[in-house]
Amino acid sequence: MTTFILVAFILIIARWEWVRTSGEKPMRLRMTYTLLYGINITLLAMLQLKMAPLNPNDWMIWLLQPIAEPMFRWISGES
Amino acid sequence: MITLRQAQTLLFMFILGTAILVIPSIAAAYSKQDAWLAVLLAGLIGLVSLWLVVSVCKRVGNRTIVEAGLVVLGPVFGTFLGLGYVFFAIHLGILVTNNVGTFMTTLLQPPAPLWPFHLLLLLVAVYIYRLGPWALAGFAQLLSVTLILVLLFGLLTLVGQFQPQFLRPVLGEGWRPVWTGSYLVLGFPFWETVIVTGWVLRWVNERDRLFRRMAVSYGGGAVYLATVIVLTLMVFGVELTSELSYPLYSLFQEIHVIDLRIEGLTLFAWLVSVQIKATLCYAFALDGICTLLRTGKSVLLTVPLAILFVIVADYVYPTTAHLKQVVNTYWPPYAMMFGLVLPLLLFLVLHLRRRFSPAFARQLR
Repeated sequence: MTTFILVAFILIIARWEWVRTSGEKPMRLRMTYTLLYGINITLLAMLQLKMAPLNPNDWMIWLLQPIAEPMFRWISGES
Repeated sequence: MITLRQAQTLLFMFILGTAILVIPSIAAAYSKQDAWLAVLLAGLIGLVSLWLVVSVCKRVGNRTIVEAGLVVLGPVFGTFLGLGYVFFAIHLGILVTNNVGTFMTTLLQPPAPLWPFHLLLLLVAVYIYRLGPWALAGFAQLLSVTLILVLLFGLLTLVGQFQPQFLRPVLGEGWRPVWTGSYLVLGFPFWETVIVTGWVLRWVNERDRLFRRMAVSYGGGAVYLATVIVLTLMVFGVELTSELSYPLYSLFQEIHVIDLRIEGLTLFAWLVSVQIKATLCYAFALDGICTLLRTGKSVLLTVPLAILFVIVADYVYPTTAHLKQVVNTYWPPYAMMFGLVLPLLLFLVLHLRRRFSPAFARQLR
């Protein structure tokens, strides 16, 4: 229920902000706006469904797995 | 536009934000009584990164590092580089936001959830960003005095409790522990400063002696952190300092001036610097996105990005073990990639293109 209210609240903010903001809104900006709100709502839904949400730390660990630990061991003299 | 002094203050506050409370325990855990030396060494090595970022941004006409990437690497590779930097700024901003919530719920409001603290931090960030860089710079300049006063106050009131023997022997176990501590401190906070130097020069109205003056501020941040570590070590010793989660806060709890509790001073100083660090990450990410979209500055993305910060900061560190693993093992090479390796790549490509492509050299002029 809380998630549902939160999502509704976020959508109201998104709509209000869109209407309130004047000036040119090119397609790239529209798409990024939708993408960011889409990510927010997806993350809330994942949390509600007890799914593991996207965590930037996991991506960092995945990217640096081959070098980070050997590098730290080498610098601290453990190897 | 902002003045060079304000840019210096932003860099100084960025270095201290979050680090001021937690660096003593991280550095002392690896470098023991030489932790202060590790911070000074890291500050010295980190100057290379500062020089690279300032050089690249200055040579492409005082632009942000995302804009510099587009100029130097072209629209395709430049966009990939820019996306990387935007991701790094968002990631760092989320971790900084989480720090505030964790501190508040650990020490001050244990039963409270994290998100209200994150929301408050981001509301201020959105407001400052919408006002413009001058508002952030003025805010930092005004409140930087607080940080200096807190340190001076600590020095004066704790002087009776200092035990200089806790700092000996200097280099008792050789240079290895100092290097290890330096490596961690370079990752957090010195290599992270690419976020502030890679963004702020765009708004600075003075261009003379840019590197030298930013280096003074960088050195000031390193000396401040080293002094905090010396104070903490001289009162608590190595073992206790490395065990405490927030040694500076605990240090100020030791001060008794006419039965007043004054640890709130450190809390205030820390919150001010963290607010500035989080706002800088947020501003860097937003301006980076707008640069990549070629839309100019837009306030439309401020709210959804702030909501993203609040949501992800709530679960970014599921456990304390995860936090330690990230900070000690993964963060330093990750920050090195953005703070040293990519600026070095940009610097080399910039020089090669200037040398071998007269059209590119003319374009830069």
